[in-house]
Amino acid sequence: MKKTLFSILVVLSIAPVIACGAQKDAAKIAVASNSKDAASSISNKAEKCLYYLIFNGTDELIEVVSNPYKDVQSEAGSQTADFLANKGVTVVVAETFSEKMIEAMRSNSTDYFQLQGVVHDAVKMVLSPGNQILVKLDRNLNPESYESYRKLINIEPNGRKREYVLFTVKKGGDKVAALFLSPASEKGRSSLRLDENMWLYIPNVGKPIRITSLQSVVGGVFNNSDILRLDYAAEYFVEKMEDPNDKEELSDRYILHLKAKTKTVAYDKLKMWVDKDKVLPTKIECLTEASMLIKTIYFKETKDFGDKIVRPSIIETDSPLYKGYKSVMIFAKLKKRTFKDEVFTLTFMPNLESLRQ
Amino acid sequence: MKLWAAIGTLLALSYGMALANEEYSFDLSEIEEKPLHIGGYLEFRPVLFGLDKGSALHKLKLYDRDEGNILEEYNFTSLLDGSYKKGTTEFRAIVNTDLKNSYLGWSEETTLYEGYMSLRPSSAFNLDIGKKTLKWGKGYAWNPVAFLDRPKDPEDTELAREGFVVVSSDYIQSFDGPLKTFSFTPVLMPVYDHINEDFGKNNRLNFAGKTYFLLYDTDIDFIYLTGGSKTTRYGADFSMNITSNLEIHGELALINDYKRRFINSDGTVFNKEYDATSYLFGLRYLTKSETTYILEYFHDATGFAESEMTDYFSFIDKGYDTYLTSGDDSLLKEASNVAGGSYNGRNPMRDYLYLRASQKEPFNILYLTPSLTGIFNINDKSVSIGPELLYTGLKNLDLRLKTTFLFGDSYTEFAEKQNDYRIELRVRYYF
Repeated sequence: MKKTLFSILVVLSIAPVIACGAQKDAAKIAVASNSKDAASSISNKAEKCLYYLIFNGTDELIEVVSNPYKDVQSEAGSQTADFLANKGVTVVVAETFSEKMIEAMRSNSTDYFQLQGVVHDAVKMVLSPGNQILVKLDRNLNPESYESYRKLINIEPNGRKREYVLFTVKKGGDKVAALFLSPASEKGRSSLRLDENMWLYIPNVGKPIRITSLQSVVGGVFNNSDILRLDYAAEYFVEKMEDPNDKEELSDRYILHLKAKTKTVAYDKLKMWVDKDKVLPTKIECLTEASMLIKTIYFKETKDFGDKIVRPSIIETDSPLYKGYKSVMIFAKLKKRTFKDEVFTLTFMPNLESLRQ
Repeated sequence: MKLWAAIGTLLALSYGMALANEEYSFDLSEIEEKPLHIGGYLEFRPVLFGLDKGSALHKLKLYDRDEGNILEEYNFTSLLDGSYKKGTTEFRAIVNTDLKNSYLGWSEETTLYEGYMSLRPSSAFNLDIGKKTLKWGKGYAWNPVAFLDRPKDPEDTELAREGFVVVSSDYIQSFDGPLKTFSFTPVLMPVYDHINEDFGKNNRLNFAGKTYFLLYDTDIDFIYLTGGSKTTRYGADFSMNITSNLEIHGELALINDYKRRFINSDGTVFNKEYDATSYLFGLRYLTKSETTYILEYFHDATGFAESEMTDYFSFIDKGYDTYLTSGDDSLLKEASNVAGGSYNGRNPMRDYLYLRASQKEPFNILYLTPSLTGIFNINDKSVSIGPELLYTGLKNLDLRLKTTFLFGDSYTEFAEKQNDYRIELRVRYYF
């Protein structure tokens, strides 16, 4: 009986990996390049590259196609995306994509990776099951463009609490803005992040000033990059994935070891525990390059926010650097919403309140 | 329909109750959007001045009074910030009231800092009509390109300031590629009787504009002002992150035909007209231990030369001697008013260095920020040093203890101020 149960558990636990493997076989990866050689560099513009090198799910170069829209002045991004989708491409890799190309790829259900370096290395990285899981986890946590309300609670060792309420808007992989609604001393403050650029605006006082990702706007354990978080896959790639089936208490988890894509990312490394079934994080350790623990983030209380958004509604954080202190983030009214790019600009920062409906 | 409404209400209630049952709660009424908002702060700020009886400005301001060695001042301030939103239109007013008790008795002043209507038909365009502050420039302590703003106090850069009556709009456009954002802010500024009359020459309609670019990862502004109330001027500024913990910024202002009035030690008034080029360079650096350093160098070509300031202080001494011997204070009154009082304004000379170091939450004491601000006059080598403690750990209450000590040789800017030091407590309650 025990053996049967154990066998069922093993089969269940490896099922998602098998599924991933099946996905890999079906994968068709197109990498933007200005050369026909897989050892060349990835092109910095998806819609303007000379060639697309197409690989199958087993890392084989199966086709090289010229980009027919490289010289087109308008709509090049959406036409390129449709062209690749018609060729059966499931994943596109380039250093950057235009917003229009991203939109077209999304409507075609084509995944995309923004990567630098050599074409062949990028294909290997994309095919790693860890990165596939990370992309899915990002989409499960929130839609690419959304609005939400969050309450931040800083809890001191003596139990005293300090609360902040924020309205947050996000678009695509690199644009996010947050507006403080309370307490009164912070009301109207807003922060904006465009990729690695961050600004803080304090009403009545001054113009938006540049801030850094490691600073904390509100004090407590959360810093700016936690409050204005981009997709994990936009900032990190999976270096290693553990599937600890041998440890019973971890058999329903993957452990992903993430490394920052650039030096400007707030944490050099992340160790992420992922629920295999829901593909959602349960715990993340934020580490320095030397693997020193900076903070631990716990994801709790998975809730249905509607419109197929099912994700943890509470995030708790503690840190060995702030012994006894804890910060909590509670999510509410998370919903899909599209915004114009102009919302995510320095000039618009004083007007963020006007987006609330 | 009613059934759906009932289900929706039930779901919302159950969500609220579910959260309430947790250790943490998030009452959704906290995020309800209300058209009318009234906020602001109340402030009590007692100040103690340690007087320097031998200084030029003490002689100038207190020549006919004996106030002892220490002056007390009690300031009460209320700042009311109200807004009303309907559709794409918003009305906003900020009213500041200062009530002061000093050696001169009680005084009260109520000022409309801002009062404007804002139309926002889209996220790419807005139009503001009324009194508002524009806050141009990238510097922390000084903004030579802030052509339409009242000057900042470098010793308290976060003080709210009064605006001017303007018609302004913002047009914003975002792009893919190296140029990520472009925005254009044209401004019309009338200067007539009772409208912006303290800005410059009367009966003029001034035009100003700012174009902003986010190019690669650098903020860049180009600014101009023309129209006659002040001479035509051009400006540019930039700000960028070199690394994630190091930001640099700068400003450049070119002022055509700038007119400066100054006096010699006999009190003879001179006028000088020239094209003035002012500039500022600065950086903001965050260490791993969360100390933030802000360093700025400012060259103000509209400021007084060291010899001109020395002449001014000599003239005050001469006026004071005349007053002591004859009781005639006319020279002292002339000294007070010369050049529109610009000799006695903030940082009236040409070259300054600003350094502010602040430490976030030392020894893990949450919400406590000690800081030290130094302003160094490079021309006469006098200095102002201000240690400060800010505590924000009580909900909606800020407590700040600030001291300022002034050092320098005689006939230097900071040594000739009315006081040697000042101690100030600020208690501010936000509502």
